[in-house]
Amino acid sequence: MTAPASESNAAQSSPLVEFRSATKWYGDVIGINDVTLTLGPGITGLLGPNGAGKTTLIKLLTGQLKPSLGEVLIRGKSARTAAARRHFGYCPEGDNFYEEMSGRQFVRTMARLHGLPPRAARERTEDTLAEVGMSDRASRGLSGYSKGMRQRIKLAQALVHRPEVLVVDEPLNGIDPVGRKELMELFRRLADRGQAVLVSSHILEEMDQMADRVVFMGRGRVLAVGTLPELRAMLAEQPLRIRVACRQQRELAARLVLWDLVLGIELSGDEEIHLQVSRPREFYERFARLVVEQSFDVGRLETTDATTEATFKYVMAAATRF
Amino acid sequence: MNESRSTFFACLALFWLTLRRQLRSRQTLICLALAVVVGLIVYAATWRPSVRPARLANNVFIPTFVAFLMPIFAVCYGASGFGSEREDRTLVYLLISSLPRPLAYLVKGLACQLLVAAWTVGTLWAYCRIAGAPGTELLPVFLRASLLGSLAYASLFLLVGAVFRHGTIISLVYWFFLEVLLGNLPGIVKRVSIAYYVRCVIYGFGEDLKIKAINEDMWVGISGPAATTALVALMAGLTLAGVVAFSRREYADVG
Repeated sequence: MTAPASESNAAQSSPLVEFRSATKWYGDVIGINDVTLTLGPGITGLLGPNGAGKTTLIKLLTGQLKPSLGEVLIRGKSARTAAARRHFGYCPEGDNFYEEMSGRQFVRTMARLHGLPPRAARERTEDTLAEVGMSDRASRGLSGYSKGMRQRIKLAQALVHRPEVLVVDEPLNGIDPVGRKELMELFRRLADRGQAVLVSSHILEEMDQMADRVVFMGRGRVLAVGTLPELRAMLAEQPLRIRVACRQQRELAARLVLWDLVLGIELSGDEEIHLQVSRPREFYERFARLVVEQSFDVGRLETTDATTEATFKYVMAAATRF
Repeated sequence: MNESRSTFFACLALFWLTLRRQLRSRQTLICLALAVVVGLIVYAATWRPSVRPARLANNVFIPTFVAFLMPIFAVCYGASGFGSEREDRTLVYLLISSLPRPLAYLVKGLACQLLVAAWTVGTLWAYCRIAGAPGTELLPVFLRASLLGSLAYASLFLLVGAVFRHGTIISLVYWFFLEVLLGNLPGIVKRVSIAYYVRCVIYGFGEDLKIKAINEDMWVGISGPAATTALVALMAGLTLAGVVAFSRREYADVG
């Protein structure tokens, strides 16, 4: 095997994106602190409040910043190198373009800046514009585009060189519901093709529908990484809100109120009971036994806060204890 | 695709993009307007046919073209090379492209230098034509000095634009205080200015036409070849500094 070939194989076997104890300081202020993280194919949601370090993480990943300590690697190469940049496409949050161009010219220019020869750049531009649903409107000047159209063109420029990693900063801001759905479907298609899509967002509801896993950030640290069920299991000790519909509402409530697992109880209407419970897994086991033994007629049992939003709140609450 | 071939295409794309954007910018209008004004001054100064080359050089070409117009061309296209991208917040697209940063700086710099050189040579040629016979005599003397001077200025302002957020303003302030004020002081303090070396090249290679400093005792000049070497070295040094600065700098505010 030749040296370049073995080098290329080594690069292919390296993780797509790897943060190794990456730390970034801005003078006395810490941007991110000792972040170790690996990203693979699929959609990863990057969540966190303002100042959590999301933007710093993205700028380190896209090579705009260099880590004060540690390293950020894309396919085994430092994110600041041109070799690493071939592997990712970046859709920045800022809404800035070469405004004198049309959408098509802009995407083609970016294709050429990524080193595609003129003909290949033209073909890829058309393919990518079709993929983001902008083929028919791409000849218009960028300055006349709506927010949604600009977002799609930004995505097109990030995808035009077929990167393995797509980094998207707040992609759904200002997009109408139909556009959001289409973009989320596009991210899903890319992820299904084996691409890694890192989506930074504060719209947690959309992460619920879109992300295969989420990275929670707070105070410059990665607080939690995993799928939502994994995170839920990890946070099993956290109180959980549960809604129960039962014909024998008062009798059931009278039993439950005696349990030390039940932290709060509230009756609603004729049938509903809202519970706040600790150690949910244990609660479910005892609850199932009780229902069977006492023949309670339970019509519905559901958690009301197993969403990303709730998990996010828990994680952030946990973060304040660090 | 072969990596070096891909880099070549990316360089080509950046070169044409820079040329096209810079040419279509408001800087071109500013350069055009100022070039017309200086052209009118040259025309008025050479109205009488008896004007001698040395007098034309000292009274018209050096104060209007060398000391004013040439640095302005360099500020317009040099400082805005990276400055306009930073102001428009489009630099991010260059930073995430597949071009190595040192190469991106050199290619962008080359395009800007080409524009500055074209404006300098083009306007100098036009003014020499306007001035008639004495202008034609001055052309070879001023050509070398102007070309070297404008490229040295452009290298400096390109670096300023890459390093500072408000590169154009800083470049104009530099030009006024260091080049205009300090560059005209008596003694050796003026050696910190580019204008000094440009004028040394003019005086050094214009001896045959009797072009010399108005107050020669106060001038303390160096020879034409030495000044030429100084300008070339300055250009190379500033370009190298720019490459290093652009490659290492973190642009966190560009998008």
